[in-house]
Amino acid sequence: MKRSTLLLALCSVAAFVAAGVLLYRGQAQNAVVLDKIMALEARLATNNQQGVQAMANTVYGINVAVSKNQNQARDVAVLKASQLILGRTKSLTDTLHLFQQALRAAVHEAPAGPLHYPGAASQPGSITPQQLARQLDHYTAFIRVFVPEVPALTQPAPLATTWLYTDHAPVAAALASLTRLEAQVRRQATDALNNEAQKVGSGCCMCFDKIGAMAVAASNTVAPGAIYEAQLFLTQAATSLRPKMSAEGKALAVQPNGRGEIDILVPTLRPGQPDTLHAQWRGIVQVQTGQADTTFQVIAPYFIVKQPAQ
Amino acid sequence: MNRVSTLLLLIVIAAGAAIGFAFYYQHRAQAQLSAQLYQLDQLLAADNEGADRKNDGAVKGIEAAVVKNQNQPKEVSILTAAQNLNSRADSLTQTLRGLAAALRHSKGSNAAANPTLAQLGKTGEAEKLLGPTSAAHQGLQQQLTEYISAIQVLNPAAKTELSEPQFAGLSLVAALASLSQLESEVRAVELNTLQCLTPKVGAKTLRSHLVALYSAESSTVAPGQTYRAQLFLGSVLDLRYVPMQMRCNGQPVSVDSSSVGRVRFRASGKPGPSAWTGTIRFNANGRDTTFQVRVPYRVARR
Repeated sequence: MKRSTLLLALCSVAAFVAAGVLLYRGQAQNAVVLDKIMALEARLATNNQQGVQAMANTVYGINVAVSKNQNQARDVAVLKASQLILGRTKSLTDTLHLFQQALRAAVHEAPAGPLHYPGAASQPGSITPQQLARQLDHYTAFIRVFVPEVPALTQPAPLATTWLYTDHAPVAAALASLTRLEAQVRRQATDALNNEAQKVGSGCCMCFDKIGAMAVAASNTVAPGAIYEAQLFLTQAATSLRPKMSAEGKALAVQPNGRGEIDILVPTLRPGQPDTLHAQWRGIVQVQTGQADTTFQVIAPYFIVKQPAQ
Repeated sequence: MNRVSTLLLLIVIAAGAAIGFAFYYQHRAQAQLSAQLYQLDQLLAADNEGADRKNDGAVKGIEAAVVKNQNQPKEVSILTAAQNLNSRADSLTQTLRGLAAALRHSKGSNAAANPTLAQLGKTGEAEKLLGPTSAAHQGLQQQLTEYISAIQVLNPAAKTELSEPQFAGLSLVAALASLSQLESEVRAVELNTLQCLTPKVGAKTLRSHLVALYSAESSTVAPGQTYRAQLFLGSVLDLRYVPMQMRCNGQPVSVDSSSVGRVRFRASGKPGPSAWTGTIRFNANGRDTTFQVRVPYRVARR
């Protein structure tokens, strides 16, 4: 072998070793960045979970405020809108979770839990990015009704080359892209719901229910020297409830003060009937508390007297 | 040149090309991962802002409950602990954000608002500023240790998990991400502890139940006349677990298990309008409270 050939061989070996070292270090650096992506993904996923709870709480708060404010049509529209936002957001979030599960399945990972090979190249799953993009764009159009300035979710970020993830990106990075989308959706939905909450929240949530003693007389008129009876209790105004009432099976008109008026026309006594008759009526009050209907019942006795006390 | 040399040269060129491709792919992967990490970091930073406000709100909630309950000494000390924890978390946040700003503005990176991919991928600056032996790293470490022990005093049951800050060999974007991650963990641990303190303050609210009630104009009607009554829903506060007494015109009244007092007295013999006074006195959270109600009624003529 000639000396020049030998020199060339030596140089190339040295270059290969140097390149190998550099490539190895680059690979290690990428592994570190991928680790950080996973760490941040975990934090964002936790925030996403808490966000779901917080959004449900906001809608519940709107519901309470609206019913405290006598269910006015304008307020009810706000409640309906907020429930719609919650529903649309949940369905989009479900799709993102399904996409993640499909990605995991495509590389034979478990549907949840830590990845065995986070650096493995991702494979196309059963949901295509195009299908996801369509749903994201629909959502953006929907949410812009409530928050006009939100950016599209299918636009790449300033430094990124794609809105989702590049083909064959490490599976951990691909999964993180979906968690990132979920966080973006969560932030937009939270903004939209907070906007809605402000429309009904003015002062109404802050007022405290008034507490007071209350007495209810069985009868407001008594005969001289007769027994007067009443119920005494501590009460908290429950005016927000709009109960449905009926007496003896007939629906009653409920006054704005929450009271149902009962008028019973007592028939004239037939001959031969005793002078004093025991009679009674049965009242039913139905309220909607949350989802369930609750029914209350009272039985009110009274007397029909031929020589009335009055 | 002989055939061996030619062959060798060809192999070298081929291998060189392969290495070039490997470098290219690696570089591209690095750029993509850095861009992705930076995007996640920005989202987490926005979430951290939200967590900051949310935790302030939790402290304000504790404060409002303590004030409303007339500043009981035991509750005031809980409030002070909550405020101290919040200011510790605030100063940790300031430290972490200060370090992030220092990293972005250091001479080597100079990546203030909109860093480029090259700046984000650059290593060395993080280690120089935040290496294991640096003053900044040791200060941060000490602050975190103090924070964790403050948490454990307030909530011994909590398992406080903060990630170990490691900056050696990190690229700029990875170092920034580590700082955001720490801030997020600090706020999560804080909120957890505040949520443990919240139930320990504030007056216990009385539970209530609904009852259907009616009130008739008169319980006696003549045949052919109209009987009139009102039906309504009352919300009765549950007084079973607090010391209480109900009176009617000064006389004690018996109270049933649903916290409703049964008023029964002989009406005066004189026809015309009359009234009685009902009083409910109870003791909740060490304070005596009295509610009074005046109830008119009518004594009919014979």
